[in-house]
Amino acid sequence: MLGGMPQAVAEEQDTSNIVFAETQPDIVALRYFSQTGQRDRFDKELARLQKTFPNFNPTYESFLKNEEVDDKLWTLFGEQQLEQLENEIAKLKETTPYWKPSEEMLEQLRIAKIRVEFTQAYDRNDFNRIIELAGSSPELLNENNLTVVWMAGEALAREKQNDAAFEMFEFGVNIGRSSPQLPILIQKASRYLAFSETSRFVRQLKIDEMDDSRANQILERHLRGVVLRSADQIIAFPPNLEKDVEQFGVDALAKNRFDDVELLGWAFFGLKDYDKASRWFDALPPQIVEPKLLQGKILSLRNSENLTQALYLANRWKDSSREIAAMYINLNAPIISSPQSGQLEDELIADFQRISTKYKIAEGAEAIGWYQVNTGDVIGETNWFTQTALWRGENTNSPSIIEGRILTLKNTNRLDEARKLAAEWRTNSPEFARLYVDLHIADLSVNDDSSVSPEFLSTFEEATELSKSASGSEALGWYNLTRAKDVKANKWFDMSVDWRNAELPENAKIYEGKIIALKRSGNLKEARILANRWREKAPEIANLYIDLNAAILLNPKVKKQEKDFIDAYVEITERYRSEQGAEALGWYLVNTGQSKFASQWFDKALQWKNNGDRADATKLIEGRIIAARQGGRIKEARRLASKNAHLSRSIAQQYVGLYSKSLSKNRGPKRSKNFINQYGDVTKRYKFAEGAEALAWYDHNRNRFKTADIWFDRALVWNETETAAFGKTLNASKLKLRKRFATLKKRYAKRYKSVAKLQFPTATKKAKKTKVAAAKKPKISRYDQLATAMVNANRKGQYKKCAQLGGQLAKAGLARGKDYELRGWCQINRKQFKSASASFSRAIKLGGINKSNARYGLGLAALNTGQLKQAASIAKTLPKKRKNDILKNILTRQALNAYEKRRYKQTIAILDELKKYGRETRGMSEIRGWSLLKRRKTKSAIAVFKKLDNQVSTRKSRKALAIARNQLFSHLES
Amino acid sequence: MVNANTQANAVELSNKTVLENHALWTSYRERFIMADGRVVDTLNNNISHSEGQGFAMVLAVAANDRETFNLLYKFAKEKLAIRSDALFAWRYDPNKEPPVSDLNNASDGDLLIAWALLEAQARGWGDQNQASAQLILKDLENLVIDHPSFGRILKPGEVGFDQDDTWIVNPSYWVFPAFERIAELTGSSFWKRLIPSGEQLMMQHLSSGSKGAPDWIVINKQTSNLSFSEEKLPIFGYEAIRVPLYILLAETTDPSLAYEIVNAARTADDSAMLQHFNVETGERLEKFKSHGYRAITALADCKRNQTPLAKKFTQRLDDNYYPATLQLLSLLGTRKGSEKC
Repeated sequence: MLGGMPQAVAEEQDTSNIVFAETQPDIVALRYFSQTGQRDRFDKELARLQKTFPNFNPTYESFLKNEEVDDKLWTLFGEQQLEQLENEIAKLKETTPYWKPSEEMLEQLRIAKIRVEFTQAYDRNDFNRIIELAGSSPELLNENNLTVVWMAGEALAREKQNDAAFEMFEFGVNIGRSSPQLPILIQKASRYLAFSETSRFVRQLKIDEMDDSRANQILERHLRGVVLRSADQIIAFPPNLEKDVEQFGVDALAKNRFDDVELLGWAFFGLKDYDKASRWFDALPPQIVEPKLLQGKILSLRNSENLTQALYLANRWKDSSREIAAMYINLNAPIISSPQSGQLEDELIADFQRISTKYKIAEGAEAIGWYQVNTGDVIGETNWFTQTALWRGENTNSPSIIEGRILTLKNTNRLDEARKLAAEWRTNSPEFARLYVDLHIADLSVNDDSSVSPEFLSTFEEATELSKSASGSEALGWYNLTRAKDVKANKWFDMSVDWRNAELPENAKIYEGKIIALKRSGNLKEARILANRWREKAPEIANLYIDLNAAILLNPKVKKQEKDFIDAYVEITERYRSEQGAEALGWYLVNTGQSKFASQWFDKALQWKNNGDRADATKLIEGRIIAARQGGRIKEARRLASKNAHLSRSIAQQYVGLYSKSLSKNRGPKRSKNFINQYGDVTKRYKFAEGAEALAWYDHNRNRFKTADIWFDRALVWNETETAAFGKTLNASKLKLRKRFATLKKRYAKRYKSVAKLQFPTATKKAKKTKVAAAKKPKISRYDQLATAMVNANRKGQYKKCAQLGGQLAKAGLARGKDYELRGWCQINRKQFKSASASFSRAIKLGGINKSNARYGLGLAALNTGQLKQAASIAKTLPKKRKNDILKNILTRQALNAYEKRRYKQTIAILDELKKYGRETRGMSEIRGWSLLKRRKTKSAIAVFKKLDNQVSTRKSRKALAIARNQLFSHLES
Repeated sequence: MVNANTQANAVELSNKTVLENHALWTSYRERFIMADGRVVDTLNNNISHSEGQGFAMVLAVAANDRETFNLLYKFAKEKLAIRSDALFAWRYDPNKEPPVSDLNNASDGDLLIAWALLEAQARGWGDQNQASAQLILKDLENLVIDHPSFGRILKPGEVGFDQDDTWIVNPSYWVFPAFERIAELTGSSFWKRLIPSGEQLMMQHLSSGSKGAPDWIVINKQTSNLSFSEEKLPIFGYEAIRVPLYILLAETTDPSLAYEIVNAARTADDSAMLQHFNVETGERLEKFKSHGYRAITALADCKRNQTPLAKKFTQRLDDNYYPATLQLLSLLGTRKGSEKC
């Protein structure tokens, strides 16, 4: 290969290769003469060589200046002017063909070029190229090139080759102990490797043994890497590093390293630790944070639905620029203008107004306008809707401004002006039609027909249909209902239901109207279904529910109803203390043979009766008597019947019936004269044959045959029965009236066998007296009697009796631990929690029982008397299941309390705690959903409502979901 | 790419003759290793574990006892390697049918066996040991998780340690010397990355006010939070006692961690004896009375203060399998299995 050999020499070689064995001149001597300054000898030697190589023509200087050239080249290398260096070398090669750069220079140049390539690849984030370069040039990875090492480490980490990245950084730490690049390598390692790995590197470096400055440098870089990693990947700081991180921030502040302070702010911001984020952000000098960066962050947070974080940033820097202020307004406007904005803090409203005004942001003015409309609060002197138009550069008579003006007039009670404006604009758009409806709805509700002209009604209907106004159609429903136009009413109520938007609160009133319309038009089944579905929404519907279902329960042929239905009916009846419901339940129990509990319902009905007049209560008293009678409580029935017999024929009939058997009985008890007189009066008043016969027998059995004869006569006239006929005939024989006896026998014998058998007596038979030996009954102690009765009463669910018997035992000083415990449970069942608490305490003191049971009772009593702390401390002593039962109850109450007090964060925290005890109930989940929504954690709220809706889709769950979604939507849309 | 094994060597079993011809090893072999290679846990109804086979295999390499090593591995292969992967069932009970009733693995047992196999190959025993170890390690890699803060975490077994937001881990499954040697013998740093996470786990735990190393610990998957398991009490017990031993046997770990753990567990009246205790409350429980356990304390003192081990640790083997195993492992940390460190 000819390479760089001069062409002439090559040619010479071709023609005289035998004469000249050398292919190029030997320049050793030339170099020697040049470097030793022997110019003459150089020239001679050159002349000699040129004889053989005529084209060989180096200058004396080209050899002489070799060192200078080297210096120049190394200087260029040192300055990293690699391109120039390469050009220089090329030039030298050309001008001095026999000159060569040193091997070392070439190697260093090669390395430097690769290093440059490393840097360039790093600058353009070409990490694969870096990995490739590191693989092909491992000789570069040394202490002098620690930059290359960390670049390779970072490239590997970024390409997710984590093991290799770890190795690379570990290698760097091992070789670079004294390299100035080591702190940077540590920062990079800390940025990309797990904290545990880099903190180990730092430990291995034994920085305690280094001078302070270097040790601090390494630590600072390590912490910056950790903070960068945390901010970038949202990784919480390990607890054992928190102090160091804090110190890192303090040092950064002291040394005006604001980038580090800001970085810390962002790290805590990412971790949602807003207190700490604020602390570091607040420590920054004003305006230090780049507005463009903030805008980008806010936008990306909003777009990724991290609204809380977006709001935080916008709020934090709202005063820093108009752009951020606009974002702040944009994010808050849906909240300010929402119908629930009344709950917002004054401070927020004031700030919002201030920023809107400061930067003249129309969106803010409009939101304040709507806030005024929604809350009735007046913010400043400004007409905010007009202001909106002005700031937008729009016409102040645009529809949106007019709409705002109407609403402002309405809310400031300038109703006539508002109505006039709305009437003018009502056909322009559904929104105006709705305003017209809202402003005129009161006119329609007036009962007086004369105030509603046909023209007005027709206009109102038109506007209602145009605006699809739920309230307008509802008003029309009621208007028609009160005028007995049930079908029309039903139609408007249906429309109202259809037009009701998901975000509006449920309006039970519509359903009330619809149920009445259905009931009136005889569509009871549908009315009942609606009433059943909506009974929880309003007392009026609950009453309709009670009324519609009472018809079923009051039917004497009613069959036993489903337990769920009865439970619900009982619950509603008790909640509204409905006399009608209680009476219906009483009769239902009587009619289905469950009279045991019927009395209490009749009692409740009596108690809840608004009108104290007894005459109105006759049916209830009758029910009460029948229930007592069916339940075997004859004494009670008789007492009631005697007392109230005068009130109605039915009660009188009960009264007569209750005594008739007893009176008729041979050897029955003797009755007082007063009683007999009253009984006789009632019997005669209502012409009860049963009573007359009973009195007849009563007299007959006491040998007062004459009066008996009269009563038998009455009985036979009022209602002839065999026994009365028999009695009358027999009585004749007792009166020894043979002829009458014969006549009567003849009259009744054909009809009644018993009469046919009667014979006129010939002689009196002496009644035999039989002595009946009294059976020897075992003697029962008073304690046993009471204790057994108490147990039985409890078993039968007679808790009042049970508690009373327990009281008797206690009073007699006979009660034992178990009796106190049982008394406690009966009192719990009667909701007498304070007394129960005393009973359980006594039971525990006396012992002889399962104390855990009594403590459980004590815990329940404490729980129900609101002594939650005591209940909790008792719970701790109980077995797990019971302990959890009480703790769950406590947390449930606490959650409800917190929710009622609008402490939503606390509510959620309590619910989280409650969740540890098992699946969350539907009710608690609902509360969680609403609490999340109130806290503007819309996505989480949606998740909760969605879950509930998936479990059982109800109107309630669908509505909750719609409201939550709407809240989210309004944020996103803006 | 870069061979970064610049650290000092760990317990190089293959190059050491720590237990070669040592009377204690002979005694161990006779008392706890059955003719079929099964290692008997005498304190635990004479059952066996993959961990026990692994311990004994490691000790056999250190004793340069190839025959016993082969026997131990044969038993593990035949009786415990019955899963669908290369890992071992954790428990073997000869009194039950079948003797293996639970196919779950124990990661430390697998790790010990793999380590021993690699050391055996380094000694030139057989030609498949390295390959077998690699297969075990490959499957064990599936039980290693990357945590954003701790880095690499080793699950104790395939099944039962992954909860909704947390993992339950066993700090004593961080067999530090094994991680170091596996990295050296395979040239891969995969296992070495468990060393920093194990150290951080202990350092963070101890700096949080805990009174010592627990047998089990719960790691939150997203944050760096550590807590205790509801099922497993926060006890320094038979598991955690190995943590300081492993730290002391490794070359690159921080021995001060081991000293701290050991010191926390010393009994009040006898500082050479360790004690079970509740690391949360500090409540002291039963003592580790067997002298095999005391070898760990002795090793810690020896490493820290150059106090020689008492002669009994090199002359008399503990009567029971587990303390005896810990005793022999402790000797691996001394100079040639002697009393000096």
